[in-house]
Amino acid sequence: MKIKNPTANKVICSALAATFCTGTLLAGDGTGEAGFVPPPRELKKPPAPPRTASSAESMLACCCCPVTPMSRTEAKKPPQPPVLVTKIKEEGASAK
Amino acid sequence: MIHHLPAGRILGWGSLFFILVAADVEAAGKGGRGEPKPEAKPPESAAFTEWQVQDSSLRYKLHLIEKPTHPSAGYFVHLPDGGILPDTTVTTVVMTEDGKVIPSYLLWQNAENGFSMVFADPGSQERPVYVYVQSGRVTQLWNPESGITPSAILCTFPGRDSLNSALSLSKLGRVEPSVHLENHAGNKKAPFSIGGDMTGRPRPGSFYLLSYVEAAEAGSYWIAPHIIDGKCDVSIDGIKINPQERSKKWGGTGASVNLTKGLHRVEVLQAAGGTGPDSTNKYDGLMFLTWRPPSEKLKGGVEARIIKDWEIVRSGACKLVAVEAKNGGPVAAATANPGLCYWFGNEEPLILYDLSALTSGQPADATYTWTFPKEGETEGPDVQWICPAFREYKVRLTVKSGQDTSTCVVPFFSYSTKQTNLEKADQREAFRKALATMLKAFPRSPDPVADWSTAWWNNLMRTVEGKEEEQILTRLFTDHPDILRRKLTPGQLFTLQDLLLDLTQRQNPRETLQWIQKFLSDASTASRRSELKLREGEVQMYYLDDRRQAEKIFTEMSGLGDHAERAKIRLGDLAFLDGDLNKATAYYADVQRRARSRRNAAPLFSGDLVTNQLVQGGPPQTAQPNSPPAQGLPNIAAGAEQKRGALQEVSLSENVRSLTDDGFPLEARQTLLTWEIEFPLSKISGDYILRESAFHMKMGDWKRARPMLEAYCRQIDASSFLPGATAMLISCVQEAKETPSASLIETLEKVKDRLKYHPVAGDLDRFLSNAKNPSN
Repeated sequence: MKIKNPTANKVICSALAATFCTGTLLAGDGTGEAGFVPPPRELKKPPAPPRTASSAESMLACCCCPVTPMSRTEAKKPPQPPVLVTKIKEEGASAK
Repeated sequence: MIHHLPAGRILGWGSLFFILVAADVEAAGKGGRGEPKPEAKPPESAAFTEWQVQDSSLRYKLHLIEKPTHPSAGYFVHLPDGGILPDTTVTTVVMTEDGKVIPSYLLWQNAENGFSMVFADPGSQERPVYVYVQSGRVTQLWNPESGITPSAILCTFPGRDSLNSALSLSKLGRVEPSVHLENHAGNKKAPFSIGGDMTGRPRPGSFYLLSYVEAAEAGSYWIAPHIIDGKCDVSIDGIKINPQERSKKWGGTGASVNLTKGLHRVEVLQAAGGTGPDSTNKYDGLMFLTWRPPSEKLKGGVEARIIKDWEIVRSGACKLVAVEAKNGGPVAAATANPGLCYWFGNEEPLILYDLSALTSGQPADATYTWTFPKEGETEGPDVQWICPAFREYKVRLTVKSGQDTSTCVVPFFSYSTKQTNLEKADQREAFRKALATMLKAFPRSPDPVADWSTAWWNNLMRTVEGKEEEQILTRLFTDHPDILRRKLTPGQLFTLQDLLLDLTQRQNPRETLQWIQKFLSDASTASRRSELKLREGEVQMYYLDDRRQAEKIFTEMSGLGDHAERAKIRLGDLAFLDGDLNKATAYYADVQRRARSRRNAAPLFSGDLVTNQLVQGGPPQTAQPNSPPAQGLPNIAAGAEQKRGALQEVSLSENVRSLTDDGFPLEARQTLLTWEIEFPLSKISGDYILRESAFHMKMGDWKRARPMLEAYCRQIDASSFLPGATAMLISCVQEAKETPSASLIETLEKVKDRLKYHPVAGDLDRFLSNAKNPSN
């Protein structure tokens, strides 16, 4: 027999899917079995902090423009000491 | 309440007298659009264009370097007077090179800062324009009906903090001498704002901002000024707005103004009270302007937004390139531009100023003289001068040509925002160069050096390097010796003395001996006298080749005293130079034996700069027999003395090498002295000869490096260091442009035999070939 109505097709598919799933559930999902470890639950997120500035305010937080300040001079840095790597080999009894 | 600003009028000035000036001609002409833009290449033009306005005796030549954002905004320029204007009123005619008259209007004028004006856009930027100054004409002030919309011109009146003072600026025309101008609407984050006095002058101050904004659409605009500090009035098209609180939201206090589409004049009067500079964290600017266009929806619960940069009209910028007199005579005009800033801790900030006379258009024989009140005179079109910060200066420039003279005064407030870093050799050199110029110009009485604060001396200590300071040090020790003794610590004084001796002995060792005698008569401690005597012997030995006199000095010193060990090393050096290797070794070994007994007793280079020690007032730490234990050496177990010594020697060698290569001559010298007193035998058996010679060669002291290198090459048959010493010896002879002596050639011939399979043999071949046949 050929079903021509597409709506009827969808209904039949849904009914079949529901039947299979119900069967699986009734057969048991394994949660009660020995050794089952439940997956971690997603913790509830803390509430967002209260907003203290509007988007426009944050855009203008600095706002204005004091005159560019004079800045201190950067001093000459002391030289970096050379890195010496050496191996000291003791001769005699203590080195053996 | 609404009142009308008296913005427009044409006035005649019958009796205005103005002298001159322009501290920052170029800066005033630049558009203040956040970061400075690269300057456009000035257009080329004919060397001399025909005089176009016959009743004018003076003209300014301008290059148009930045176009206005809107054609009506024209060009803004601030021009110096220079004491050269023929009349007491400023009347100008602006013309293009092809004779087209450009509408122009005066804005402000004063006796100190010259005059500012705006003129219509001539169209092409390629050719210069000329501003002719006329006599006996009616001055034409700018007014809103002129058709030109100058923007955004910030007029600042330092020292006043009332809106009335700001209002007086809005009337244009003649203003007080301290008033100055910038084309500056605000900064990047607040494009329409007043932050404070752009020249760095401290509070209080009054401001008038003349600007235009572009309304993109017609309708009701919400204008919301944010007043951060002081008092502020804002006017739109001459009508003062009366801000009211409409809501508590950001930008909620303002006024609605109906604007047509197009440009509208916005004038701000601002007063800033208080004291001190605006440029600190204490203040966060004075005001900024926000608005909400009629059909704009704003998010975030705000009533207004900042006025965008592109909504603000900007006049174009010019660069003054010449001031010319019709009769071809000299005209004095100059700029003063702040440069590097030397400012450490709580010291007084010192700013390096570049003063430049406008030389274009001046007679070929023109001479330029700068007069610094109380600080003397100096010559030349460009001069660098160091000025303590936050002070008002007036420098006079005199230009002479034949019998004609022109004079102007350049006023400026010393202030600089230029980042300075003493890591950069050119920035250290800049301080030294300017200081040399100043010391040359200073009068003997009253002596300006007597008033130098600690900052001057400390910056001298920070920037000296033993290379180019001869002029500075000679001046200081010749003209200001008493001040040096009074102001400097012994360590600082001795370091400067030693540097002067280092510098003079390379060129004129006889003069060095005179300096030594002078310093000896001033030396207050036995230790210092010994140092100077030792130096005298070294000059005799290394530079004057008077070894007998040197031996006499060292022998006297070797008996007893602070520098007896060093004198013995020098006796060893003399023996080495004379070819007596055994005697030299005996001297070196004797000193080293005693040094071994106090191994690690001498301080090494501690990691801190010698200049830092000098600034803190202490003497540079050099090795002495009874010095405290050294720091920073590897902790080797007791009993491993020999290895410890070897490690220390390697450490000293590496320290000298890196300090010399990295540009720390004072520290390298100090380490060499320590090395020499601890391990004098290194002169024969180690690489001391290479490091010491490299140091002297880096300082350009070929004479000092050469004798020991030659002695080494002659007497050391074979060593790992012989090829290096040979290469250095060749360099020394070549750099000193010395004719090789027969003994040198003989020595190098022998070295060549010993090193015939070494790459240096090729250099030797070439050198010897040239020495024998100079014509090649």
